[in-house]
Amino acid sequence: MKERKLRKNDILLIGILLVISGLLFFFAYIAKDPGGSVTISIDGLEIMELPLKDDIRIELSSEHGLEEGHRNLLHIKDGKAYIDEANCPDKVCIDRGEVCYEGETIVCLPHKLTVTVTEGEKQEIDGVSE
Amino acid sequence: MMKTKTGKVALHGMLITLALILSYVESLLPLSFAVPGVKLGLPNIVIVFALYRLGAGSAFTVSATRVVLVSILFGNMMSFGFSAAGMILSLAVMILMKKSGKFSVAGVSVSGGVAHNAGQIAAAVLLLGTKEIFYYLPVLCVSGVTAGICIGLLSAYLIERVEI
Repeated sequence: MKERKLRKNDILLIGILLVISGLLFFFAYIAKDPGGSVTISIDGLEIMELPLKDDIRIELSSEHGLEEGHRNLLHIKDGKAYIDEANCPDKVCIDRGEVCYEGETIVCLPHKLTVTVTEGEKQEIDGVSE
Repeated sequence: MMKTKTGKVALHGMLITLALILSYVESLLPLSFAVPGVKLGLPNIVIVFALYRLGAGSAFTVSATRVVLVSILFGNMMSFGFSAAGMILSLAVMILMKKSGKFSVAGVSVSGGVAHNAGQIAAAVLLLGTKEIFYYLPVLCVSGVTAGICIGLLSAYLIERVEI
């Protein structure tokens, strides 16, 4: 019976599926690398880097370089960073929600503030290589 | 056995039972340690068999009944959603692949296995609302291909040999 043996089309199908999986692996790896810290920039100027492993609650205000009266409340909790209070008009930074993977960014355009997840020092292994 | 209506009912009952037992056997094999959802797809042997020997309608009857019974016996509403989504997508893809006539049983089974996992992930994304689950997709794709080949070759043998 011809149904029994693997046919050329089957091999092709399996090959294609495996290649797709490989690509998915690749993209998932790139896109989903958990970051080690967040870099806070105001008006393009890096003002501080905070490790994601330590829970912290920090109020960004004029003393960090924001304009007088501007305020964003940044939280780091369970390895994730988010802004849950801000007096900017659009609140896009709050709606962005939690970020924790490398490259993810919270932007508060009205306050010229960005919070970007960076590699930082993730584990001991990365720490040694410094 | 397939000549009378009673025979048909009895045969379907047997296949459903077999699929159900294989679901249980599969639940005893702890393959899902790293990524949830990795499994052999043993019940798919019965589904593929039904698809080739009895037709698409019978394959649907057997797999749909299996999903309902498994959810009642071992699962909950949530797992019913996952299973049903995986089952429907898997069966639809297998029927189309078989109809195309370009693939052997193994090819049909492989596409069914991958479609099953893809359906479950889609259901998980819809029900849980988390996109992180897509992270599992490549792992489940590879496991679906591997299991699909094994199941397909085994099913092909049974389709050829078993008398009904």
